[in-house]
Amino acid sequence: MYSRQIKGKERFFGVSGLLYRSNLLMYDRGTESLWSQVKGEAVTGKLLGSELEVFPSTLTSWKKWRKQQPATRVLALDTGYSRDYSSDPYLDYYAQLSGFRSFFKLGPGEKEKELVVGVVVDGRAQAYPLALLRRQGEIRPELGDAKLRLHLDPQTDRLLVTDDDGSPLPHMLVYWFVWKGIHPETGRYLPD
Amino acid sequence: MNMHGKPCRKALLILLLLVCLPLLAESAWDFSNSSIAVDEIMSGGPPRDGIPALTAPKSVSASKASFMRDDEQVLGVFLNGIAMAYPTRILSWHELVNDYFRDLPVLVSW
Repeated sequence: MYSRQIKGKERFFGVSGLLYRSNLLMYDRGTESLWSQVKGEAVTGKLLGSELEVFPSTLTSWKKWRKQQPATRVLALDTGYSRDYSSDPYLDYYAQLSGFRSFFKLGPGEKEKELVVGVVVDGRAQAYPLALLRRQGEIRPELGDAKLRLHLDPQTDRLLVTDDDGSPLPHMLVYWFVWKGIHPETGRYLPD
Repeated sequence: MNMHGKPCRKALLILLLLVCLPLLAESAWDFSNSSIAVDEIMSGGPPRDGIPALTAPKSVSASKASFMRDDEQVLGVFLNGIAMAYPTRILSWHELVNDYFRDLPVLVSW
């Protein structure tokens, strides 16, 4: 979830149809700059280098979301487009851990579509497997000089990543191949 | 059905050109100013806007959302005092939503 307010101007985005290292590139209709969806940053054009402000979002079930946000609204099925919304066209895609042809060679124990929590601290990128967080609820790894705390609330699926002082750190829930595409030098955390 | 012979074919050709030229122009991206390796940019299959982003879509209240199943996946956002759920079965067809939380313009990406 990003802000569309960029340098004081509202921008509108579309899907370019292009990929960069298996990552979607979007574009803004005003300047036609291409933006990395995952980086939230313009990678070509007039707005090159501009960054999108990130807002937190939670990937969860409808039941859990409605429970914590009873006044919530829902995106309507009437979108103006004729599509089969009865089921998610990517259900099989989510279910399979591999099967996406990635641009890099997988290491031992790695799956392209393993969901990971990606964090960057002082230019150092690390991926924390979501399955590990689900099992343990919380992990306290070190990343460089920083002591991190990653917490996943099973009631709400809310994910919290904080540093030593308890201040929240930017992070994203993504597939391993997506994270690795944007941060080729990233590590993948394994508990001792 | 061709009732007018050759002039019709000519008109068709012109029409085809008129339709295709803007499409060709539209598919051309300007990579001259780029921070990533251009030879690593590839076509994902669908053309530009082949996957249509949504803009300011309608929403319904939770009590009226009888089409929602308890166990289905949503992207939940609470911002500016407003809570919104984006079912991923809809997001998957559009990938991007240009939306508003009151006067705050946001981009949902999936």
